[in-house]
Amino acid sequence: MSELTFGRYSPFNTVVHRIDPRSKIFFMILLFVAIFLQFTLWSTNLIISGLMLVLLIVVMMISRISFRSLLKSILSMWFLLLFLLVIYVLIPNQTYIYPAFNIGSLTIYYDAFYQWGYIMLRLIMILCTTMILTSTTKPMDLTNGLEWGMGFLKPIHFPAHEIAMTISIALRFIPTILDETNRIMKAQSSRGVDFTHGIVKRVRAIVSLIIPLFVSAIERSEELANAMEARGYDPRAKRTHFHVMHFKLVDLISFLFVIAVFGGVLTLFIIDKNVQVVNIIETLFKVNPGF
Amino acid sequence: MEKIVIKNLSYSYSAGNKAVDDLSLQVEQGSFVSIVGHNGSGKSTLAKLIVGLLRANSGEIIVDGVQLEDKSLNDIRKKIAIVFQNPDNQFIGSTVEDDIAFGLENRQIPSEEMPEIIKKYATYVKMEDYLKKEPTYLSGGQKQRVAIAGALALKPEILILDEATAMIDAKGKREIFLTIKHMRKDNPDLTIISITHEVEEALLSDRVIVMEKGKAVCSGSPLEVFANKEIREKYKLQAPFLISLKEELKDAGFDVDNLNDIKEVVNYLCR
Amino acid sequence: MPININHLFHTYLKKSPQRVEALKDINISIEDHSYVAFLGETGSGKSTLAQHLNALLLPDAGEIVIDDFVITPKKRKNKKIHELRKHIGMVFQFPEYQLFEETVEKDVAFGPLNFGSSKEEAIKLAHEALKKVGLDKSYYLRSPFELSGGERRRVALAGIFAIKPDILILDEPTVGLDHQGSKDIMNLVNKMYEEGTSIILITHDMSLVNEYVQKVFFLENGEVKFVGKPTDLFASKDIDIEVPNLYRLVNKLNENGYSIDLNKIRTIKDLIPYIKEKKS
Repeated sequence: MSELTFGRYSPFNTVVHRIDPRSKIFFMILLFVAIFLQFTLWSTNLIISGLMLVLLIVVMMISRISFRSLLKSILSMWFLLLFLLVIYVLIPNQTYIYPAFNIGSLTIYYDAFYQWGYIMLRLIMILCTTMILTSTTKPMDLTNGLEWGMGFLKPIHFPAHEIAMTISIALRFIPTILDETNRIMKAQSSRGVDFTHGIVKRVRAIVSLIIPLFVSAIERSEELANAMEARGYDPRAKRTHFHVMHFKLVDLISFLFVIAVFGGVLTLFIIDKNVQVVNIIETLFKVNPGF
Repeated sequence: MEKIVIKNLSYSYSAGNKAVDDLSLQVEQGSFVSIVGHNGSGKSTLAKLIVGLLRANSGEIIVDGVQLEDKSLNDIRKKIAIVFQNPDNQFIGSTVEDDIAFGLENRQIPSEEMPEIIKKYATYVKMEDYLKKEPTYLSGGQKQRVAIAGALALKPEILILDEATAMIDAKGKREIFLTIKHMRKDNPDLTIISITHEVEEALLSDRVIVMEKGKAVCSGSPLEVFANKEIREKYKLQAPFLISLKEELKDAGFDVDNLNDIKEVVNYLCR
Repeated sequence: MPININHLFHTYLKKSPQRVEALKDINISIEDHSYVAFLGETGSGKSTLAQHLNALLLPDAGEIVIDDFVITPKKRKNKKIHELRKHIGMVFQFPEYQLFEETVEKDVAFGPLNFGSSKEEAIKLAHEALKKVGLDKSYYLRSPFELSGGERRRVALAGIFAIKPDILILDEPTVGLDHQGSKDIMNLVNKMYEEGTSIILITHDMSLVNEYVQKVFFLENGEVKFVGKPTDLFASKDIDIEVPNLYRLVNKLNENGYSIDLNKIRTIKDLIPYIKEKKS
């Protein structure tokens, strides 16, 4: 259980914790869009992304999220990061223009490093955003928020409630199933199974773990379905909610704040697209009111 | 008044293998009935039939004079609550309060009324200090008490306990027994059907029904059923301690026939 | 195989705020060929202690000496652990959930195969073990998943018996079974004991303790609070357990003028002479 540190709900009571889950989900979507707006010049990209990252870090500090777990999750993706670097550096790209050095007949461009750095920066920002959401929102509230968020799709028979219920049950049963995994692993170890050595042995070991887990999961789901039905659950019927969500003052203030950030980035993006290849910093000071 | 009447009920999971076989029985309103019998005797299948989780192949289940069928299922279900065996697999909410709320949400109880109801029934089963706790941090007995609270919060007229104490430790069992006693005192109209292996629990009930191979083979007061050596041996039932004690004392020549509990036996022996 | 545990410590989630000191300075010894029980409430550390005996958990400090095997905090990659596990069979709660092969015979033979038996040998051991738990030839080729709960538990037990351990650890072996099923399982365990296997029972059920066990270790908050005969545990006033009805009765009778030696009482019948003497 202790290994699932990334994005796990941490029960503090900060301002960010108090924001309504629906608002937070909406903010996350806006921030994702802002993160993915790409500007013409690389300097612009780096400056704007850098500013947004600083902002996210401030919010993370307010929400009392530990940077160690962020660092851990970034490091756990080392393979992906390395892979991307190799792809950017080694695969020839016609648009690269600034050569850095040569390895044999292969020219390495600065552009490749920039591209890689930019992707990484965006990846880290996405991680931060997701982490802020999941660390400050209880899983149950998150699913309730999701259900509400998907509500506008209900008229076209989109199973918003079913999806939310499925997610919340999955979240509820993760610790139970981890415990079970642990127990079955130990039981099979007592029967001489070796979970740590040799590939063939390990595959066989995994089989002796997976099958019992499946069998018990199926049994569990059947009993769970019975328990839910017996307590009057009907996915099609109307239900009331124990947790009532209310938009509060924090929601309004945080809303204004996020809209300001998003609006700012969006405005710069529109300017950037219209003014074409011009350094955004220069543009900022030379904006022609008439355009 | 008869709360539940079952007539000629049969059910089989696979052809030729009847889990419940031509079973008939009645349960009085406000009574506490224990259904005993060894594993595979069809007890749990019967419970699932009564709450409509399974549909009988033939026969009738009548609750408050209304026959259980598709049309009446929802209305009858509102009168019945059930607590199952496995504490983990019936804990649906992410915390104690969420789990008690689950049934209330299904019944469309207004949100603003829920906290009070949840508090009341959590207190009833002595779990009021654990409202925000996740199931991982609870013992099996505590989870079962939450399940009972969740069931009682729906204000059922009939409560079915389907081997609710089978998977929990001795302390948890005792807590559940105490809760049952409390419920009976508190709400004499509540009909309780307990499917159980625990003979000491069965001793608390008004009536014991023995099931074997899908049939109700005998029924009577706990003392009548368990004091009958023939029945016990035939259906492999354990003798409650009181009964064994009385039998041994009787064999040794003591007159203990009219002693009804351990206290009376102790008084008799120390006189 | 005698077991000696010296200054054993174990802590869960060491670096987390939820750290739990599961075992604190455990010092116990269990003689060769004995029938003992680890008792205590949920979370007292009894299961943690048991899992140290076949190195499923390694101590944070201290050592466990079993015959010539020594388990210490550092022997993480020791090959001897595999050999040790062959000598120490462990039956977890609800062992029926560890079955996975397509036939009963194969599942029971799984353990012996892992511990180096040849295929024929393993099957032979499987057949012997199945016979011991009362499942005849007709079960060999059936799928374990089509059996009843009680039968599945027996298959799981056979899977451990087939390894022929010298020490058998059972965690709540009768939970969820009916009266007859529990009795059958305990009779099997007793048979193993009579054939020379040491038994370590982890249980909440004091009637099992009373009926079978010679010596109990009672744990509370990770410490051993009591070591001794079951009857002494039942007589002790400062330990909170569910005393079996029989001993509760004896304690009550003793409070009211009897003087019965708990150690001489195993069944109700043993009480009769005392009562006769008093009443006459």
